[in-house]
Amino acid sequence: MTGFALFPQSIRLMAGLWSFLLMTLGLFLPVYSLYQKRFGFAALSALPLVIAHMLWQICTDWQQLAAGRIADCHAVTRWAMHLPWTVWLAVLMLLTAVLLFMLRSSIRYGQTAITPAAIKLCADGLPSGVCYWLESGQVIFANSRMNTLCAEITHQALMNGNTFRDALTQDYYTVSGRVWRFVCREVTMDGHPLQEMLAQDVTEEYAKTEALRRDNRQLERINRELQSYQADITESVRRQEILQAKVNIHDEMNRLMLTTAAADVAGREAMRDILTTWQKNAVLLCMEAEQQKLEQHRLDALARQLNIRLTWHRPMPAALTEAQQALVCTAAREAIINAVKHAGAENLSVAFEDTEEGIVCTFENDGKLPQGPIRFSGGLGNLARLAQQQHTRVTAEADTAFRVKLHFGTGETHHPPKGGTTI
Amino acid sequence: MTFNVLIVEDQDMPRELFGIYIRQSSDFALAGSIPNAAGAPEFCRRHPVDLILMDVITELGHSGLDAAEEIKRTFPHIKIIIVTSMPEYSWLERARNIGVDSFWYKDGQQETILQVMRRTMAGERLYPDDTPLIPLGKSSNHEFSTR
Repeated sequence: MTGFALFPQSIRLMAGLWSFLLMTLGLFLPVYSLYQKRFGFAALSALPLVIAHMLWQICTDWQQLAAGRIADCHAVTRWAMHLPWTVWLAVLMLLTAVLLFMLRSSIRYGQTAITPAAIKLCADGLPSGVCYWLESGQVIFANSRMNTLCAEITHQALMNGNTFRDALTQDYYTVSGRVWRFVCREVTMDGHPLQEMLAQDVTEEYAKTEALRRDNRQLERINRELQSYQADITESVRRQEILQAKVNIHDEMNRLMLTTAAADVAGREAMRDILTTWQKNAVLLCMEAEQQKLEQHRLDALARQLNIRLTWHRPMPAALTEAQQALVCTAAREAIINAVKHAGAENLSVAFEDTEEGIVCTFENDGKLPQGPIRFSGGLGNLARLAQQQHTRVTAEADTAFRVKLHFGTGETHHPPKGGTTI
Repeated sequence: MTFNVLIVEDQDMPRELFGIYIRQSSDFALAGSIPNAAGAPEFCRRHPVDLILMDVITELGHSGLDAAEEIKRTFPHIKIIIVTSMPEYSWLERARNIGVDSFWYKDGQQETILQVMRRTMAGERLYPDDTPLIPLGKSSNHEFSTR
């Protein structure tokens, strides 16, 4: 008979109670570990449970031991009945220490470990919406914000990520007075492809962007008005220059009249000078009426000054309006200067051709061809823009010679010929 | 001594008027008269030129200041007078940087332009203190600062 049976009943009851508490604690720990998804720890914590159960079993067999009915005791009791009481005490205390340590470990784990529940709890508190789903569309994670947004926008619960993504046709959505932007991308986690969607509250940025757009539109309008104003100023200044020149000519003519009236008729030399001055002033005043003749004359003079031979294959067609004729003269001046400056040409020809689409004016020089593509920049670009205002198309070719053509009477856009450029 | 003058002005009447002033003077001769600043350097390569009356904005947008810069680089002995009516402040500064000899706002007076030409050929550099005063509503262009 073991010395355990010699203990007073109270001692035996205390031992039994202690064992029972240890068993209860030993039962709690695996369950708690399974809840924390710590399967290994749960398996480990089952061992103290077994030991505690054995101790509890022994305590419940004490009456049989006290009555000497050893055969009625459990095998564990019969095996351990000869152990001295100090061993029992040591086992109880060791088991208590182990279980308390494991309990403390479980509690600390619950406080420090990031569990899926903790992640969900934190994600629900985010100001943005977060959602992950598999390629099949199955949603594996979505916080409450994203669920709410999905319900508000699609009037359906967030069940399929692909369906939700396809339902988003705009860049921004307004939900409950806030503006949301949705961004989708593919991510890889643990080697598995996932779809990620983030919903960001961009209410303030959207308002600022809209305000910026409004300001930009207004600035563009102001810019257009300023450009128009500048063009008006330029034109006004030009007209003022011409007016001032005319005023000076009139003043000159007034002086001439006084001089003529006071001149001595016998002074032929003086009269000749006066008449010459009258002629010059008359020419100036008649310039606008004789503009075309003067333009042709000036073109020839400019060509001579720059040592280039200008050949008109045909006079200016009468079918061209005054504005079109002025455009031809402007283009001729540009052609003369470009022929000298860039091509080193000696000859420039001007030809007019009647086509079904209208009159075509061709400027061709015998200088070197441009290397590379023809760029409509600088004077050539400005000429093209000026021509566009008069519904005239400008083309440039550089195959056997460099040619600039004015296509009068056409406003459509045509594909450029080989080696040519159209603007 | 007679100085050869090139006129670069896109407006016909002012160009002709300057030509008349030059022909009527005894110390200047008209070397040429062209409407496009892009042709000025080429003209200077082919003809002897002592002085250029250069407009700033010429035909097809060619800049007289660009032409003046090229001419000053290639022919530093040629004197250039920028002639304009536009009250653009930046042109004054750029003309100075280029080395343009004189800057004159057109008022069309014969005596004034010839005086400017003679003083420039004598070695003076004539620049206005400011752009012409342009009233703009209740203010004027002189009240605006540079950008």
